[in-house]
Amino acid sequence: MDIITVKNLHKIYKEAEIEVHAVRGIDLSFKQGEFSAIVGPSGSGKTTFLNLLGGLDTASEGEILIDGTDMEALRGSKLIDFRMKNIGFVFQAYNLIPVLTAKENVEFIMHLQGTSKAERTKRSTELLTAVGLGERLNSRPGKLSGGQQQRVAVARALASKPKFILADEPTANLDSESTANLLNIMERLNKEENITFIFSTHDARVVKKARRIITLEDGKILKDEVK
Amino acid sequence: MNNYFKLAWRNIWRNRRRTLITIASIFFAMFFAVFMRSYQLGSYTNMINSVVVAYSGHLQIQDNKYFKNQTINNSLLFTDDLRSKIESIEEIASYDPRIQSGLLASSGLQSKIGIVLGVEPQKADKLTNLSSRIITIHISDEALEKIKKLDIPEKTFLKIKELKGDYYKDEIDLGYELKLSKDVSEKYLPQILEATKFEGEFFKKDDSDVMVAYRLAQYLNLNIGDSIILLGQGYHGASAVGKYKIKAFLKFPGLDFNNSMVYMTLKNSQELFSAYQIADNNIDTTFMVNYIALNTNEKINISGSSEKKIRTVKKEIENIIKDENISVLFWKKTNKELVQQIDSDNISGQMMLAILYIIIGFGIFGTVLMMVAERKREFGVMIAIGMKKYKLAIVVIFEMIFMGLIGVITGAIATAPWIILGYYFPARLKGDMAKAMEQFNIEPIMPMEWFDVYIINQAVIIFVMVAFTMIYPIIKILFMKVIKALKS
Repeated sequence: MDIITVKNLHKIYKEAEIEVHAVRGIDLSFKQGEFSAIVGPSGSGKTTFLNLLGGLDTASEGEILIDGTDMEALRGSKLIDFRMKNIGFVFQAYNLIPVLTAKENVEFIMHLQGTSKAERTKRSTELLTAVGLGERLNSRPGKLSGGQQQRVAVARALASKPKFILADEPTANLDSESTANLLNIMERLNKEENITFIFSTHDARVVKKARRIITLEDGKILKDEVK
Repeated sequence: MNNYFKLAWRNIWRNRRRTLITIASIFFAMFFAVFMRSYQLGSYTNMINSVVVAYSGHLQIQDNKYFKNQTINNSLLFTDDLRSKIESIEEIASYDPRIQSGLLASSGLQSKIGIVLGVEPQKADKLTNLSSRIITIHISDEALEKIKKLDIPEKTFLKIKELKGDYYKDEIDLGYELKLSKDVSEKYLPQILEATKFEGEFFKKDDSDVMVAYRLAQYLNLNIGDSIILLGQGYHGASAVGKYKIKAFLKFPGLDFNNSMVYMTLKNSQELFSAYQIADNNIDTTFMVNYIALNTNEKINISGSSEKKIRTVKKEIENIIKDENISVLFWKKTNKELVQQIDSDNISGQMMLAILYIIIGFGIFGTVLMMVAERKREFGVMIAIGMKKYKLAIVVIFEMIFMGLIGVITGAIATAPWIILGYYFPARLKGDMAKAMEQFNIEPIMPMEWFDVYIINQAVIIFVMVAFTMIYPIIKILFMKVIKALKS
């Protein structure tokens, strides 16, 4: 069953009075449990497409249906709520809240959802243990390496039990060992818990692990291969 | 909510330097605002104390006609009934029935316009602490001769010599002028006081002697025990002439008072001015007063709630007296010039404060701008992962409130020692400034106002200022485009 359906998606934005057609009529769908990578050269529209999927940006044309809900119809608080309940984000620069510990960062989103304290503690500990940070629960981001921070970010993305996780260049700032570690964790979560991952990446190591590779060029789908 | 508190508290300590700059701005705003306001209000309270508490009283009971035309002819019959009514009001701490009129004071070939004030000695003392005005020290030629013979340092002697001819109420009054070191003071002050001792005595209820302000006495070349002639007009054209022996010299904060005042007992003054009415039976006599000055139990100050309470007492007196011919006047009415002076000065002080607020407000706003620019991406992430914008705004509001509270509380605490010091040991002015104040009958000191509601007022104003600076981050957050924030 498709959890994401994208129909005729366009995104045009203005940059210094020049119109940039970043996404040009993408039609695509994702099924539950996919482990997909969106690849393409810089400026091909990967990040814009991911932002549109995540509801962080609005499309100029077309629709995005998440489990049947037209995300383009949602605005303001409803969109924020929808994002919180359905989508997990992993950013290139980790973007953890620097004043909160690893555990608090993971708990934060559950707190926003109104999860009880006991449940928050249980789940955040489980998730951090699952990403190999069971010993660093009380460390703040500043005390963690890049790879560890990105693993906290994955745990945070999972905390709200989203339908899928969008990861924008998650390994771009990581060394080989951290990258391998992170990919193994995400692959395991995908296989064991059937969590859908959609990456935008340049990284060949990510592409190698992905089971579906969507290649974008000039805002259009050039190739859509399933391994 | 607890988590937002925690997040806000940790956020403010994330960039310590920026937070400390913001807190320092608020601290200095609070410190200077309270410090300036305390000095300003303290000087007003001093003005009021010098003129109102020490002379005119919180309230005055007068005949209706007296306020507009202050002559002896518009006096008030001071009956036993009126006295008992006043005494029945618990909120009245002290009262003093008075006769007040201008007369020519003369001695030998010298004459000068003086003001005679007839008072009931004990009541006047209770109301205005009159006995504390009696001069006990005089740096006369004889006193200087005696001091010269004492084994005191030359420098100290020269200091005392500079004060030749001056009068002082007591050793504190003299101490302000001499400014002796603690050692010299401990060693020589008792001998200096003994040498400069000036005899003066507070008058009693039926005393026929008078007490004269020292500058008037100086002008008329008078000494204790000498006689002063008073000449003028009494009730309904009767002549008012009398010769009185001087019992004490008085020293007031104000120049006008020191140049003119002659205090005598109320009874003496009523006889001098023929201020009485004899009943038809030619026996019963009712004496008159110009007005009755009274102080309430309230400690009058410009910043507190004393005005409301004193006005309540005024109402109560009016209700008890119930006489259409009698008015009860609030001190602001009997001291209009003083009130105008305070009001005009207050406006300029508040303008200064407003400038201070604006300068410091921009300082705080600058750090808020920096904070928003620095954390734009972070705000974007928080909204992206599901934090509602208004909740994020609440966290930022908490951050500003925390910084505001720390700045305001530490600022208020930092002013406390200065307020205590300035209240108990006010700066004593000298030179032209002192003379200018004395001309308005104000003691030339610059005390600070004791802790009162004005401190809370400053805190509230500064919080409003901080609240204004919050508008910018709140608007930024509420209208934030997540995608732009994430790209910043």
